[in-house]
Amino acid sequence: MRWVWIDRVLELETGRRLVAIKHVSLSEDHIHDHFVAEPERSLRAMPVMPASLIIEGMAQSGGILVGHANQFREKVVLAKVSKVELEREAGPGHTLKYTAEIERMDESGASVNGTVELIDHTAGGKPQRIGRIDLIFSHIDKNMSGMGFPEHNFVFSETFRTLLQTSGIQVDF
Amino acid sequence: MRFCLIDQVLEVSPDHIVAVKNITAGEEYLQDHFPSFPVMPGVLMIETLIQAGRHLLAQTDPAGKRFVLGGVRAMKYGNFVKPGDGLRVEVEVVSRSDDGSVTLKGSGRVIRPAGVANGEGNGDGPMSVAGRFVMRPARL
Repeated sequence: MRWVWIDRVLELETGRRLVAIKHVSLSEDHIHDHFVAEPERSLRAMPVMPASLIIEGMAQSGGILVGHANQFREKVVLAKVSKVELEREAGPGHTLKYTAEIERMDESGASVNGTVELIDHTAGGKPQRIGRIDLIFSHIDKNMSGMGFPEHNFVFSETFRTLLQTSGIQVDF
Repeated sequence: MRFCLIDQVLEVSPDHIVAVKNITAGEEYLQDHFPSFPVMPGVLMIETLIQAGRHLLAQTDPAGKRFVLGGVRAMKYGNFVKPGDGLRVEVEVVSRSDDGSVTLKGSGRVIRPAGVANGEGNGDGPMSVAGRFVMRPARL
C-alpha cells in the first residue's frame, strides 16, 4: 500500500484549521486483512478501517496544516499521540471526515486537536462524530538534530504536493 | 501490502507478550514515508502494539470477540526505525473493565542490524514508542 491516508482537503484556514476526507473502500488491500474470517473462532470476515490508519489520516491532516502555516519550511514529524478516543468502526462505503485545529504552535512544534466524523450514505449521509485525536508535532530541526535525518525537507514530498494540487490548493514546495 | 505487523511472537503469557516486527526495504509504504528517508511510520508502531495486544487478548478470550483500538493515552515517540531494523514490542494488561474493554501498556525498542547479526535483540535497544492504549470489542 501507498502511504497517503486522506483523499482530499476540503478546507484550509492558514494556521488554524484543516478539513479533509478519506473514503473507505473494499478496493484497498489492507481492509481485507482487517479482519479475515476465522471459522475456528466462529468469526466472519469484517472489513473495517484500522484505527491506526485513522490516526494517520489525522496526522496527515494536522501535519499539512502545521507545515502550511510555516510555508513548508519545517520538517513536521509526529512526536506524540496525546489522546485518542474512537467509538465505532468505519467500513466500506463510509467516508471519514477529519477536522484538525491548531491548539498551540511555536518554534519547536505544534499541538493539534482533531475531530473524527463518519459519513454513512445509507444512514442519511449526515456526519456523525465518532471520536477525537489529539496530536503533538515536532519541528525536528529544532528538537532532534544529530538523529541522522537528511538536510532537505523529506516530509513534504511529491505525494502531498499532488494531494494539495488535486484539492485545488496552490503550494510551492 | 498485507496488514500484518507482527512477524514473530517471542513470549506470551495471559497478561504479557513480546513480539517482533522486522522492517524491510521492500515494504511499499516506505516509498512514501519518506521518499528520501524511509522510516517506519509512528502509527504502524501503534498498529504493532495493537496486533500484539490482540494476540494477547485472544489467549484469554478464545471464544471470539474482535478487539480494536478504542483509545490512546500519551503515546510518545523516540528513535526512528529504519529498513534492516526490527521493532521489539512488549505489551502488558493494566486493567480490564466491565464493559469488555482492556487497558494496556506498550512499548517498542529498536533491534539494530548489528544486534540481529550477532543474535542479540533482547530488548535493550533504544526506545521508539511507549504509552498506554485501550482495546475494546469492535462496534460497527
